[in-house]
Amino acid sequence: MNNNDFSKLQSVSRRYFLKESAMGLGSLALGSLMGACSSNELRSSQLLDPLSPRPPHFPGKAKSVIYLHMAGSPSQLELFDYKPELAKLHNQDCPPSLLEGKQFAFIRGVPKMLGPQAIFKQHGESRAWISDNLPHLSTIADELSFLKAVNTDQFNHAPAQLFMHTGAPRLGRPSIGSWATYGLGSENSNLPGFVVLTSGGKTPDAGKSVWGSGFLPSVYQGVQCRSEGDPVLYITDPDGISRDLKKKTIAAINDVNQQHYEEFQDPETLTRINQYELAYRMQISVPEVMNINKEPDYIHQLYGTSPGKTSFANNCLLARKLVENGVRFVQLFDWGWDSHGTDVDNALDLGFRNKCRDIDRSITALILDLKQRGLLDQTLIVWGGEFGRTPMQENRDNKQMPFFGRDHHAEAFTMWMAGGGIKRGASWGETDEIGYSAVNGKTSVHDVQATILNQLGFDHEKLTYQFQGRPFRLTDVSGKVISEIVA
Amino acid sequence: MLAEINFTSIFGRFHPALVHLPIGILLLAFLFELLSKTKRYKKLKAAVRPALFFGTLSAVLAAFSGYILSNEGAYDDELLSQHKWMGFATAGLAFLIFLFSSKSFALPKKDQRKAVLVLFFPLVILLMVTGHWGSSLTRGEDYLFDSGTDSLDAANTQKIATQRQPIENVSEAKVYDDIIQPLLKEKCYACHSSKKQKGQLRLDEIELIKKGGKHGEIFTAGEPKESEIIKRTSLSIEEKGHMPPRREAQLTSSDIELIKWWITEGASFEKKVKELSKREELTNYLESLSSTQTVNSWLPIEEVAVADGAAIEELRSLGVSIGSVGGKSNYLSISFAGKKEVEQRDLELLKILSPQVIELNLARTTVSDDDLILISELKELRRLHVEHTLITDSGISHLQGCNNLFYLNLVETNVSDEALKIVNNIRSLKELYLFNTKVTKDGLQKLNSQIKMDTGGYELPFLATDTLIFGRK
Repeated sequence: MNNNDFSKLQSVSRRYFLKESAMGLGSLALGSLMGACSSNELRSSQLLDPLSPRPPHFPGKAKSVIYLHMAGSPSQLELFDYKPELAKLHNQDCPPSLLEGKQFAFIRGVPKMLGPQAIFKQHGESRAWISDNLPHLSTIADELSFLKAVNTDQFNHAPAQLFMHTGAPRLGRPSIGSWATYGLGSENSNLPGFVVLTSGGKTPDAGKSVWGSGFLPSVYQGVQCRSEGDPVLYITDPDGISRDLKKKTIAAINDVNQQHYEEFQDPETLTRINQYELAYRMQISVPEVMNINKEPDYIHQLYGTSPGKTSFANNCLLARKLVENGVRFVQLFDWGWDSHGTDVDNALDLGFRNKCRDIDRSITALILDLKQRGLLDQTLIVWGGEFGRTPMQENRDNKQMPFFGRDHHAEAFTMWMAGGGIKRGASWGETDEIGYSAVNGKTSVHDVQATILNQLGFDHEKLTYQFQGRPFRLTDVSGKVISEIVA
Repeated sequence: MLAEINFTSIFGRFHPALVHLPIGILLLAFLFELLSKTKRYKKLKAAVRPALFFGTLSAVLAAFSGYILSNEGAYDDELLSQHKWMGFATAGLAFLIFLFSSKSFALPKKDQRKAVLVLFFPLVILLMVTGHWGSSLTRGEDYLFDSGTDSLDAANTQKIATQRQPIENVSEAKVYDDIIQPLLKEKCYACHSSKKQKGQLRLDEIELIKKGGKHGEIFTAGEPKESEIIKRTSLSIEEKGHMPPRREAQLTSSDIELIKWWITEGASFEKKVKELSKREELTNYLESLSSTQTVNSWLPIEEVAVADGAAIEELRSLGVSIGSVGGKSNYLSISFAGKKEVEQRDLELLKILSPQVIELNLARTTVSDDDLILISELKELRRLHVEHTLITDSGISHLQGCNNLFYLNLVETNVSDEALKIVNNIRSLKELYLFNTKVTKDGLQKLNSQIKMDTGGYELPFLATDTLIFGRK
């Protein structure tokens, strides 16, 4: 008997046996109790390497998603939903039929109607209406598929954003990017599967929960990367710690973990070992992919990027680079679209136009760049806010506003999708002649989510996770794939 | 709208709610009757008769409402008639028992009580059976023993199996034979063909379509609004009589639009697309039928044997991402996105997996021209990414034998016009990406026209509005 065996036998003493049995029974009971809160239904391979690639329910058309969220919600009536009738009603009192029984975030009393504050034209073979606020995007109108009558049931930013990204207006559900990475894993083991980039000066009102993993394992939550300074906080080694020393440190920790694993055979230990190794690899790969300095000049000109700053344009270029390198879900948030008309920055004819200018070139560039790289067909691009804006001019506290602005509007708004197996140049849904509510082709937030999952190869009703004793899914108990825009 | 409300038909709609009353009350009466035989619950004897009264009353109401509902149709005939007669029998038997329990009945009291007890047993059985047929009607015959998930899986596999074949020339295609019939086959034949004839309707032969079903003809040429097939399919999914049934694959709004168009144009079984007048809304839909475009059409139709597990595991341990393309398919999608070096061992392992590999991403790796010799042995390969690599024309020359290659990405490589000549011989190739290569305009002109290619180089002009800042001075 060698020394090692002896020490192993020694550790299994009578006292140890009794102690472990008692603990074991206790933890069995506890386990079944706790099981109600978080049951780990991940398969063993997923447990060892939670980001290992997994097949979707059926071969999906899109491999990755770039979701462009305009936080604050842009006005559909100044961008895509052309309403000449509304122009005729400009400055007239809003008819009471539109106000009865409705709740608004800020409108009180009887507001005036507000005509479109932009010039509209039809573009491309699809004859899509796009306003002069988006002159570049108009040139590629045929690449887009519009949803003109999306409906939500939340009219405040945070709950509406949560609803849009997690399928529920309250905290605690996993975001759509988390569901996608939970379902598909990552194609690149050196990068996170779900990356979030923000611009516009603020993060979304709902906070980090809009890219949180909810009750899914936290490895699936969005990794927020910054386009200024270190892409991920604390990713560089501290001064005086060389890469070599770091490697040795991690190797030592993992040796101990390995011994622990051999003794207790707990798969969670293996997960931890994997996590250390992944973090070490990411120290090299993340800064590399997040660096746009090496991009050629014509790319910077195309996107309108300026390296070293935080801007939506930079984030668009980064999104392309991330997708190229196998990241599943890239979430862009651009803050500053809440056009109430309270000051210059959120006036529909002033600050709003500045915001449009900031996204117009870069979104167009992103689509064209993915196209020329042969990646558009396998990358789904989704654009939208968390709700729309009213056809009435906002009259906060029943007073005249200094600038043209519109209130939050949940009834009907426009979103669009492109690439990733979506039809080119299609349009689905229609609003009434003033753009107040849907007259046909009404779609819900859950429908949009079902469609995104469908493009990735998932049946949204089957992508579930057992939690609190029942299976949960992104689309709750509703949602229908919008087949009208699916190619 | 108000004037159109039909109160008898509304009463019919209460059937699903009413049916629960006789089941509950009559079972309770039976229970009272049994319990009243024991000493302790002797008093319950008095409760049997009122329970029977209300049970019978509700049974009669349920049967009556059910009869009204049955006249609305939309149910499987055979099942319906079974359920209907069982329901009448239940109500009748309940009434009979109620009579027997009456004090003023002519029989001696003892026999009377015996008769009540004896008749109760068939009543309970009738209640059960009627209830079961009723649920079979609304939930489907196999509901009781259906595990739920399996039927979804089956629906999915079916979806893949009955995928419509692309039409080569849509305007020359026959509207019925090439477009309508495949649609009916996909979405309707499961219940309306030689297999099953729900509503006595068959859609698998032209004569039978013209004949219609139990409710008469299903279309009136030239009158889409009067046509039963349009009415039924246009109903919202929650409504009774909506077709296809809730749990089946639904028609899209374009599908319905297509059938409307066909009926408006005279519902001809002979005419070609070009012979009917054009419809703007359908242009996209009709074009999509010719689609070699549908991104998924590159997937092989036949399934392949399971791949070598050991080879998959080893590749994975080398840092290669590898997985099924989706569902239960054994075909593999492989990506080197997380591994920059392509080594000899990787290639050897790929070769072992050659029957299964249909998608391979070698972008941004060290893959060399010589490595492509081995890649060319992946006979099933459909999509190949070699963008941002050192590949040259001599590497591409090895791809000649890849007879299934559909998508080839050569962005930012050193390939030139020579490569295009080789690529021209790959008959299956449909998409080719050539941004930032040495390919010239002359070379492109010789490129096979069925290959959709993109040389990129997109630019966006500078507009005055690009730098215009509003509102700030």
